Amino acid sequence: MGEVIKVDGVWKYYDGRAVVKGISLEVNRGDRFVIIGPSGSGKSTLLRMMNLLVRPDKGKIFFEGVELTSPKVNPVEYRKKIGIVFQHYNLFLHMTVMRNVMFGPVKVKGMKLDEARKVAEAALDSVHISRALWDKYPSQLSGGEQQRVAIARALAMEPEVMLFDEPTSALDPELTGEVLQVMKELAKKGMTMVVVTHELGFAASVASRIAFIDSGEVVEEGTPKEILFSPKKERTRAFLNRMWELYRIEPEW
Amino acid sequence: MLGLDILIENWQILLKALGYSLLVSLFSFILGFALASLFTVVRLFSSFKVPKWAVRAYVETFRGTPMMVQLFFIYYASPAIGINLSPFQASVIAFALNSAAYQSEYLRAGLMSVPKTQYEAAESLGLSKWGAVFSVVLPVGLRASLSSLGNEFVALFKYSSIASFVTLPELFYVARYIAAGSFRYLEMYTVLAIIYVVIGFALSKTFRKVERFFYVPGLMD
Ligand SMILES: Nc1ncnc2c1ncn2[C@@H]1O[C@H](COP(=O)(O)OP(=O)(O)OP(=O)(O)O)[C@@H](O)[C@H]1O
Ligand SMILES: [Mg+2]
Repeated sequence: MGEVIKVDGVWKYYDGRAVVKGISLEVNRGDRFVIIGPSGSGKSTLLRMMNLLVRPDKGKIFFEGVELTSPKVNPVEYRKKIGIVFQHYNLFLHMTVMRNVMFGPVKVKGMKLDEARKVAEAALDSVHISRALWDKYPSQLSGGEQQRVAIARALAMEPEVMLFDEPTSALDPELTGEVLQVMKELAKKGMTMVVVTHELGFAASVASRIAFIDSGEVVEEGTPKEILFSPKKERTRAFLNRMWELYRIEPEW
Repeated sequence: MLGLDILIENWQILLKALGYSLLVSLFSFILGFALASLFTVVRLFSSFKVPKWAVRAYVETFRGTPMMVQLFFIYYASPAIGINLSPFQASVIAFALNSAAYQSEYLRAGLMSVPKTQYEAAESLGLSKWGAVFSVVLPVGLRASLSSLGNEFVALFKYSSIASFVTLPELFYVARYIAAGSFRYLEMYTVLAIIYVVIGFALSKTFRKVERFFYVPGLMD
């Protein structure tokens, strides 16, 4: 079955206000599904509902055909197959880099320490974290390094899909590139990814599909070409114009 | 120095008294810590209202009444319900109950200083609620509480002098006894003050060492 994540008519309310309004979308195996949209439009909420970190008030979430929102299903069982990377890295502060990456395999999968270490080494290598950093604590790393460790921590669980919530927006511009590079390599290896981002360049070169979200609704969804270069909806156009302006790039239309 | 001969004459009995002071402090600290841990888990992680409310009432009561009153209450009320407590037992129990109230405040503050995102990161990897609490929230939160807990231990050591009022032969009790017997009040109490300062200082130092042992770069500074 090609479908990894399915979001079906999902609603979320905060303080009586709907922040996600009946969103439906499907992420298929191998997809690089990019979500763009203005601040406060509900992107993080939507992403965090995909691993049930946030429980939807209405609608259903499916992972590989299993309805995670069903009262009979314990979402904890499925989170180990859904990696997530946060804007502020959220590494475990009291653990070294190596311990951070070993943590999931040991605590969740019950892996032996030496076996987990091998898995962690491979994961750290794949995000280009050099040996010299393995025994450092998160606070001793740059933002870009911390975020790459966070990606390695998620990868060590060998997830079926990786969720990214604005993984570069807390980084200085010169550190953004190294994280995007790692994500591009991940995409090349065929990882299924859902990425919330403001990096339109990344979206243009990596995405297989893009959804533009505004005020809790999917305004428009399609290929990068369709969304970025010939959007049909006025709201999408206006948003992209603002974004291109930010990056000082002239739109083609 | 004048105090020196009083120390030399009575060092054995003073050493034993110091032992009592330290033991009462240590036992009540450990017992208090166990109770406080339980209280803190209830306060922060329980989904039920009544136990939460009960713990709050407990903490307010014990922080709001003098320790001496608590000690007298335990010591003199226990026979009424058929339990005869020795001065040592009564002191340990009273101080533990009192310290539990304070320690649970320190633990709560420490655990609450752990960002919720740490918990979320653990949950996202597939840990259960309690798995995340034990392997991520507690190790960070306990480190954050460490210096307050150290201060609490030193405070307990000083307040253990209250046990003299239920005739526990700890430092203050013995000093009073020696002073009254020899009429050398000033010297004896000077020596006593020095003992408290020196031991209190040593205890603080020891706790600093413990803190340094658990130190993680960037965690609390
Ligand atoms: N836990 C919460 N409690 C109350 N309101 C919330 C909560 N989480 C999100 N919101 C609100 O829901 C709305 C959508 O938030 P969300 O974080 O999903 O937006 P976003 O698109 O990710 O924005 P940004 O680009 O700034 O990250 C916002 O108005 C936000 O204030
Ligand atoms: Mg967000």
